Amino acid sequence: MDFFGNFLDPQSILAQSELVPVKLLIDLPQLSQFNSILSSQSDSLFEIDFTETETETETETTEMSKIYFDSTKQKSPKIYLPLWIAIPLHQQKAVQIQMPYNFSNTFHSIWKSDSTSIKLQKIKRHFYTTGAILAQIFNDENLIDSMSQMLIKRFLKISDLADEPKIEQKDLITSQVTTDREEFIDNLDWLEQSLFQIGKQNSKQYQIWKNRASHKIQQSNVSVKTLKRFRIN
Amino acid sequence: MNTEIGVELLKELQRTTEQLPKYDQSLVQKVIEETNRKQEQLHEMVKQKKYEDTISKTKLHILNYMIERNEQILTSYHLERGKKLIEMRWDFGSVIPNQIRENITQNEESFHHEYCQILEDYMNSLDLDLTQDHQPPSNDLYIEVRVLKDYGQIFIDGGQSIVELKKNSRLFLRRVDAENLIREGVLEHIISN
Repeated sequence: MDFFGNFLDPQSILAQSELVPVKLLIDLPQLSQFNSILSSQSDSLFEIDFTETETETETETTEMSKIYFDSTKQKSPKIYLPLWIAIPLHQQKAVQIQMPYNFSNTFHSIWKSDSTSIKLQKIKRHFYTTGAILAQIFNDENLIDSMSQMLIKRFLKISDLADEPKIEQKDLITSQVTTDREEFIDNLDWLEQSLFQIGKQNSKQYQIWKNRASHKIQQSNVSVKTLKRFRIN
Repeated sequence: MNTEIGVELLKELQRTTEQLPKYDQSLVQKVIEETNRKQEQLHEMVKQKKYEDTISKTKLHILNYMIERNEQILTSYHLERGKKLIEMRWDFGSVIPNQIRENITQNEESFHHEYCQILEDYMNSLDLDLTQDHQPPSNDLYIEVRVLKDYGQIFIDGGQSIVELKKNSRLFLRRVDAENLIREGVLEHIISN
């Protein structure tokens, strides 16, 4: 099953770094063995915490995956692995990928009702890619449906913002200039940011056409960027 | 994390505002060293026939995935840089600006040179300049341009005439002669409504 599309596309590769929770299906009595094979000098794929905790805490980091031992369940350590290794191990039945908390059914109603206020970047940088993969693994059509509806509603706002110029609003209490627009754009997922950029370009092209200048020969991006750098230097 | 070193290479490419950022030799070297280390571990395990039980097999698989991941990242990094060089040929011409030349390796420069050569050969065989007319051309054979910087003399009309390009002067040139210089930022296309 091909989960990621183009093998050499940089965004697909970056999306594969997203972490998902997994459950070990093979018995690993000595996790230190695992750690040694995967570590070299100071690097390691897993950060292994051998201290037993009574309560399970569920946190993700974007840099290292962590294993926490839950004293109530003796041999079910929780690990967060990046997708590029979680999927092949899941297919080999060495681990079982679990639905991350942020993609569970609890959130689907929030996605549908309050789509535009959710800060997707804080959940996952590649939210939709991760969601699509999870939906494929779990055959979850509900997840796809919820994400699609959320994307449609957010896209309406994204395309409106792409057409609008920047509007700054001053906060009456703090007197700081805030930009709701920029806050929304900064919290877009990668797919939405690409759509926003395309929308901005289209808007610009439309203005050029409206001014009857679409046949005007433009300066190339290369010379614009190199001249800019030359001026700054 | 091992492979997150490599991912930094791709993130650098995504983040940059320049046409082509400086080739990160040190990071590429780290990724290669890491891959070689994993390769040695893999070979050692296979040599000692440590793949009988499930755990050892899983370890072998994981090592293999990590090696493949690093290879994928390095290939993608070099491919993306190559694509930007190709894009530059179509966008800007066969001459690499000095600011960009500082950021590329010798291999990339020779790749760019060979690509330009192949394109030239192909265009000569068709007797067509495929790099002209990035936008659909209007009916005007001649266009009005303003010179943005002193550039000296150029040949126009198929090499039959010479014209001096002095800053802020306005000229009426053939679209075919002016297009490349406009794209390089030497001239500016003026449209009168």
